[in-house]
Amino acid sequence: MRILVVEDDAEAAAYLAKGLRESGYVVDHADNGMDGLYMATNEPYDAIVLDRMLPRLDGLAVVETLRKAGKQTPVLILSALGEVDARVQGLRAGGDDYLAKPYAFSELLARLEALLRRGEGPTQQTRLTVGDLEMDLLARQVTRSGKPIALQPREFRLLEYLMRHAGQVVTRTMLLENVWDYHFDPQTNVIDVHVSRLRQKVDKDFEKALIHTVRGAGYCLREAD
Amino acid sequence: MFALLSSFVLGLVYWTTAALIDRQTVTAINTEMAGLQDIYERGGTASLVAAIENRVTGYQGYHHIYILAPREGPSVVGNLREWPTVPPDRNGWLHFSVEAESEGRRQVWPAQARIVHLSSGLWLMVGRDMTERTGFARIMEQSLAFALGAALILGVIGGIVMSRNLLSRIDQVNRTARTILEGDLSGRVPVSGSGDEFDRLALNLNSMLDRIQKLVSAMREVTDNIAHDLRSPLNRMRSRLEITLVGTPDPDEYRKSLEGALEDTDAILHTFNALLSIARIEGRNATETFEPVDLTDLAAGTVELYEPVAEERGQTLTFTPPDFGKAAVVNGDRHLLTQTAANLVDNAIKYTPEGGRIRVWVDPARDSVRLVVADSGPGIPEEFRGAVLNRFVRLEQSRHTAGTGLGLSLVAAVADLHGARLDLLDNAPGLRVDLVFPEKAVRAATEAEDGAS
Repeated sequence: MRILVVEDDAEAAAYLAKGLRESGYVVDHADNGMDGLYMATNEPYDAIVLDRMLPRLDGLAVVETLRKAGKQTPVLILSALGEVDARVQGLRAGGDDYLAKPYAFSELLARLEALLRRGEGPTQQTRLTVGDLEMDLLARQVTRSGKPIALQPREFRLLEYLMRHAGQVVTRTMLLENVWDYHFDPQTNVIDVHVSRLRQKVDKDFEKALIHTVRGAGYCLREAD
Repeated sequence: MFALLSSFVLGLVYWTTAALIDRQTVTAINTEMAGLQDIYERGGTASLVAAIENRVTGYQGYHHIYILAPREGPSVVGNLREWPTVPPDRNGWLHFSVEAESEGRRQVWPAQARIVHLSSGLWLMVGRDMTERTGFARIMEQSLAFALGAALILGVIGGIVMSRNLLSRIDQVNRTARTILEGDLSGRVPVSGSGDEFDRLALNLNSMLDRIQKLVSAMREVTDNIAHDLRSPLNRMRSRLEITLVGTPDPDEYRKSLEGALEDTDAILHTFNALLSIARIEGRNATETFEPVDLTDLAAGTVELYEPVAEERGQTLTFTPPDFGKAAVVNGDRHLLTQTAANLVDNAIKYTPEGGRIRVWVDPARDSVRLVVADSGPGIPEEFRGAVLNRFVRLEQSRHTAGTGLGLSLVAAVADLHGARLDLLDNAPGLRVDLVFPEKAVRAATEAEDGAS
């Protein structure tokens, strides 16, 4: 997987590149908007991590130009502007996700992986399966090893999100944003409580746990290794 | 300007008075002439001569002037010996001077007269001395000149005084500006109390300065608070890293220390972000992100999010929607209001002991909407209720609880942005927080919805 990092802060870019390489990605770096746009247009990248404030060409302009040129490469916008309005602007310009600085690398990685996998598989699935856990999206029913599991509507959506991102790390913020559509940092870790409730229903009576806690990052739904 | 105006008024007075005197003179002469003609027609020349003689005899001066005489030659009767040498004007009036001895001196009087031809072949002239008229003109001219001079002098003096006053008041503004530039923000422009434009300027400048001073002190407070609340975790992190480096190299130890440092950083960032959003909300005045927000949905969503947390702590968290059909829609920023509701519920859960009860409800009244979060916790003593809205204030009893201590300050800032009132009440026992949206917010929401549909 090839990632383009467009970031003018050399040190931040170096750390980011190092982290991504250690996670198994091939990383190219551009330190201004013009070069970034040029590279993004001419090289086949799987995803772009784009700083919003860049010399020569602003990050939002880079995304807009890219989208007008018909390039659909997933773009994760990084910005020091964390306000909801700024986020909306970024997404409207054509960005696929938005992360405010300072960010945790684990958060960035989780979001980037979600973007990279998004293109995979048919989107119009009616059935999700992870190991012996099955979800029927039409009948809105969940079974594990054939045994039905009764879930509240919100629990269903939470599990659906985890199953759609099976094998990936999803952070608490990603869950809060995608399952609840809340864009703020709750003081208490409400997400943990919701996940542990879900665990009670999905994992408790079974030998192998499917929902795993990833320390310092979030959660991951996968078949036990 | 003043001089011009006053000379214009005086000129007008002069002109009208002169015209009046002229008219009176003309009328008097005409009446006298008519009277004498009447005498002549009834009694002939003899009666006329007698009448004029009667008028002239014993009469000193030339207030009344009479001549009865042939066209050429000496007068038959009258107090003037010869015809005046001036020609009559267009209306048949003669304006001339009379020279005569009076009180031992030679004097000249201005006069005006008319001449009529009688059927006997004699000519009759009746006239009047115009001294009064001329005297009046002279007096008017003098007073006009005097008034003009006085007006000029007064105008100049008044102008100087006024501009002095003006300049001194501008100077007061300047002096205030200078004190503020020198760093003393408490300086204010003096207000004279007369309520004039300068007073209004001073009042506006002063309220602007009040606002600036408030903002500056709020900023100073933020800086102090950042220093206070960020310095200790930063210091803790620094010590942790330093001690790890000093100790014997041990990968496990290093890892533990780094993980601890990471946790410290997250806590610091959390506080920092909270402070930043409060500052941004407080510095904002645009309502461009406002839209109609249904408080019922918002509160229900928040309660749903926190319900498992409360349950885990053995508390009951319930939401009571308003009576069926009653809308609780206000004009506001959806994200900020959601965060506000979350903060209130979060606080209630945090400070309510196990087994406690937290109730959330929305109360739409006719002219306001209330969002209420009531708990059965220890509550806040009345004397501290104002203080808890300030940043970082946490009552001593709650020092051990996790959190930045910024939750309620954010709520207060959001309430302020929405023009809503934040009431901290006694729930007996516990705390009840009321967020009261004014009629304005409710009406704006209705209008926005009507406009959209």
